[in-house]
Amino acid sequence: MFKPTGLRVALLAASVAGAGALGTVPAFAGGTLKLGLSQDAGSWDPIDTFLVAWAAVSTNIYDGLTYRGPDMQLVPGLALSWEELDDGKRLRFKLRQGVKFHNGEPFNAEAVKFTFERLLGEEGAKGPQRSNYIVIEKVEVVDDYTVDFQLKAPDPVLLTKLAGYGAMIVPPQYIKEKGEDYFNTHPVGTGPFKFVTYEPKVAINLEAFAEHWGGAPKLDKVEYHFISEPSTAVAELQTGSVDIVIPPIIPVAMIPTIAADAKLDVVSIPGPTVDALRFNTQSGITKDVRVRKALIMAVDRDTIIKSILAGQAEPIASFQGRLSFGYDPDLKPVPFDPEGAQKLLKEAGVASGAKVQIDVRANDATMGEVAQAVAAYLSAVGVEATVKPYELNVLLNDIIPPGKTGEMFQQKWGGWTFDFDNTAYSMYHSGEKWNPYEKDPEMDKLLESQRNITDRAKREAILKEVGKYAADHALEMELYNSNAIFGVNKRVKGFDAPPDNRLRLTNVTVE
Amino acid sequence: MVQFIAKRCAQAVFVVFAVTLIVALAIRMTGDPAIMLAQGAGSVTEEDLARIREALGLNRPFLTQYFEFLKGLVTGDLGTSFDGYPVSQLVNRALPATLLLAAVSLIFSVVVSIPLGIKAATAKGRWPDQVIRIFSLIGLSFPNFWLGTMFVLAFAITLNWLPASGMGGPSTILMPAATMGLILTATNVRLVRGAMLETLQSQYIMVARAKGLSENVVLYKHALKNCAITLVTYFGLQFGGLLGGIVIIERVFNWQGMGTLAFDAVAARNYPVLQAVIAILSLMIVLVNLLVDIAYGFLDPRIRAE
Repeated sequence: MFKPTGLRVALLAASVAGAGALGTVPAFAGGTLKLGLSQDAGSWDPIDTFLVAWAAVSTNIYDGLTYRGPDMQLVPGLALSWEELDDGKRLRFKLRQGVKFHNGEPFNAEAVKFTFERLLGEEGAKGPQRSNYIVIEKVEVVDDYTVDFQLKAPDPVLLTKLAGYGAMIVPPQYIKEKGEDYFNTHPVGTGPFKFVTYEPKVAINLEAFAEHWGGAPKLDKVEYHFISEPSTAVAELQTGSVDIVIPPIIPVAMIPTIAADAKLDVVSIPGPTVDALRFNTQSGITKDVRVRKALIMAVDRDTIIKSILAGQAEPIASFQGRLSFGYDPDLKPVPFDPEGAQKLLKEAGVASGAKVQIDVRANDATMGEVAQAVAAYLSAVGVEATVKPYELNVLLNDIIPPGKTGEMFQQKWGGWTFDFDNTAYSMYHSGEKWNPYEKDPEMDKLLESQRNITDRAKREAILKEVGKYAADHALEMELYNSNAIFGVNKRVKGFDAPPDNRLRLTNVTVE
Repeated sequence: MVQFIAKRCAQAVFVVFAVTLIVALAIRMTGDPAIMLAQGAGSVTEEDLARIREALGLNRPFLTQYFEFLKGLVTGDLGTSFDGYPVSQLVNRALPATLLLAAVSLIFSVVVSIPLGIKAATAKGRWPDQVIRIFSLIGLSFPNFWLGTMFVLAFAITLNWLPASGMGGPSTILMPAATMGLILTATNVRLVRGAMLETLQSQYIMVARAKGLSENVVLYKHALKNCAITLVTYFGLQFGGLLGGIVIIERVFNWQGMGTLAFDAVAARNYPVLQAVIAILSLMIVLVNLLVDIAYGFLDPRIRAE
């Protein structure tokens, strides 16, 4: 009996394609790509969400004025060019002409104005995206294909922010006619794929938008299936029901399973997420900078990465990965030196058996193991560490912001902009929500000084200085920059793993 | 009977009220959904959070929020989830999926465990009894997520007979229902065996046999009917436990039912969704128990007379 298994269909397709190539009919491309995604964003409106899972899909539905691909370079998107006016307080964009939304509505300066007025207005206030764009005072239409962004102050990261999330250009007529609720579940943009169907918690399906300004996509259809359980996602990958599993689903422990399957590849690249154990610099033994330095020296982080993370991470020297703007390749992680640590502890007058508490997220199994390893290293230099897991929301809401942590606490961070300012300002500037302990005017001045400069080189130098200052003051025990792990079926071609999960599928094909 | 049902309905209303109140209070103690929504949003200010809370209606007093939810529950308007989706639509999709899975699992378990339990009882101490009891013990020792994963490994990945997960045609329900069903069967077999053993010692069974009735008629007509009260009570109670256990099975098989809905709602602090799911599930458990009570009357005329 003939059973249409995946393999047979693939063989059949290959034979048809082969026959086509030999005969007069051109070989057909196209096909359907199925992706496994950890989460359903719930709403596909750009201003409603901050989920990476949203961006993984929506980067194919929408375009921004700028575009940033897997190489992390900022290039023109819906804007062909831009210039800085009024000392960086005005940005003028020349827009691409002849672009249409999926519903046929034309893209022009009015659409840009509408998009940002919506984001910064009442509708945007309901969501989390607005706060990223408040530097924009107003958007003015100069002519049909020219817009000016009037800024409250120059913002060096704005062009990057325009490449994703809240800044995706939306169709004014469509939203006005259909309403906000309808738009949430029936998104329309100018991107390479257009929305077809969405079944909440199950799947969202797209199809190629042949009239895309960047050229028609090679695939016919794209299906995103929401699968939250890692073992289920890997099983679907193994059975061929999905072709790509997008991070963050695949845990390090499941890499060997995928690697052992001849049909599959593991693709891993440094992602945006960094982990550190930050110090309580106000109380406990970690108040003393020498103690903090000693604790950092006492922990062999390279071994932790090799053993617990199976090498799927890179050591860091400041609270950012190497793709981050502001990363300093000359700043090296503090070497593992238990003797040096003991000497420093003695110098600081810390008696053997001194106690520290490490607060971690209870749902983070990897960090649970890492924290135990850190505690073991600390006990080797005579510091008794206990690991205290908190429920995620409790830690983020009730423990860190009011400064009720132990001597050390886990901070996981990862801004999609890959700009160190996003991290550093939140971590180190006085009065910030995520900075309950440090009040350092010198650091504040450094951080503020780079916020209004658009000169990239100057800014980069200051951000490097911020990283160095934080390292000199031992504000945190840097741990690692985790890899983003993709599981990919070998039938997928043209796949270029993006560090930020915003996987654009224009050039991807399936065999 | 009418009075009995009316009393039970009043109890049901109270149970749902109490359960939803506890859940609504408890989930609010676990953290702030605004922070959850704004996570990763760079420098989030207190004003940003306040704005999000206001948009979600969380700045109002707890009792206002709770009574609005109750009012919605009565009028059939379950509100909007924090990610902007009507809760009633989510529930409309998830509830049939869960009920289907629970029903198939329970039927599977009943159909398998009754003949096996009877066989074990009639062969007490001999090898069929031993084998059935050992398998039941093994079944009891399995965690359901492990059994589910093993099924996936065997039937989806190695043999490629069944889809690994998802919700679609009849083939997709086989593995999740068998996982749930087998674990229920492990308990039910023992229950049937115990109830049967007790009944088989009754004098009326001896009379039935003395009359020369066939063994099947004795077992399935006379003995089983007398065990029914115990079994129906237990299967009814199991339904409640089943709805709890389904959370894990739904996750393993990516089955988009009430369990998944509740799990995601807890993770995202999605109050409206969680409250609605809990209210509906508790209502159903109360309802099933009511049906069990009513069934007693049919199974045993003496209870009806009381």
